[in-house]
Amino acid sequence: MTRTKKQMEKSSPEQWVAQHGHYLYRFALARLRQPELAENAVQETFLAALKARHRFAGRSSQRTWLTGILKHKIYDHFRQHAREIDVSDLVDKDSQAVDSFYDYTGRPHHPPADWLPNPREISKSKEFWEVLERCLQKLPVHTAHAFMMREIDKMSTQQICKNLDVTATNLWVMLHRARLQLRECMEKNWFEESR
Amino acid sequence: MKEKAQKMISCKIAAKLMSLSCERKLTLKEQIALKAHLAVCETCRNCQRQIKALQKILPDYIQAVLRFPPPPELSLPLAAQKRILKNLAAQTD
Repeated sequence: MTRTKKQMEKSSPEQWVAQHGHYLYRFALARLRQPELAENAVQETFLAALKARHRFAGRSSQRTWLTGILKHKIYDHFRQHAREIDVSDLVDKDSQAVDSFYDYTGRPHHPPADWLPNPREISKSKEFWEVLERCLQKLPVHTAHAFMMREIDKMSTQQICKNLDVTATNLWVMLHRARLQLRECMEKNWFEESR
Repeated sequence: MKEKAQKMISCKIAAKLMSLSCERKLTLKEQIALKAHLAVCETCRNCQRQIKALQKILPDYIQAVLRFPPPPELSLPLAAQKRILKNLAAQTD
């Protein structure tokens, strides 16, 4: 038995909550946005983990394992609510948002300035990550969810389409809007502010 | 595009192609159109570099954010911690 697996079986639920509670909550909050939804997702994660404790293979860290369970709880939430939302309405809004970045000739209203985040600098910059978090929160919740599944969870587009019950074209519009808006938001709130 | 293949694409179309290239390989025609635009448009070159840089950074975002102590509104509330522990204890019994 590997050491992590032993640790997992020995460690108490109290220790899990103390060690990973805040992390999982922040992760869930970034996706679900509402504190009650995030709290519930964290609770369901711990409950599922407790039940499946004997199946923990110890190949990854506890936190990675718990985060994997949490991600599925979050996907389930969005899948359940996908039927309640009007996707074509979402896509129209995303497509309008893309259009709003440009004038009628296709020129951007705010041409991108010359800046680039320096990996060494930003790793120590609390402000950079806070601005990034706020910019992600400004995206519509489903657009942000699609974008995070793609760029953070590295899910395939086919999987995301299935999850959200949207077509590849719909998804593409959502992702495109997310990229453009995030870029512009970072330019306005991080680059221009820190100049 | 069609027969007027030499006609320059707009910044809006260039951005679409940049985004598309994150999802699939661009066709030769698309690659040429994007390259030709980027060659003469500095702001789109900025845009492309920034989109790529953000794409590279994003997977680290939660880990990076958590290197700093979370503000109270982004921490798991004490009441929720207690409730979770209570429910976990009920599950173990």
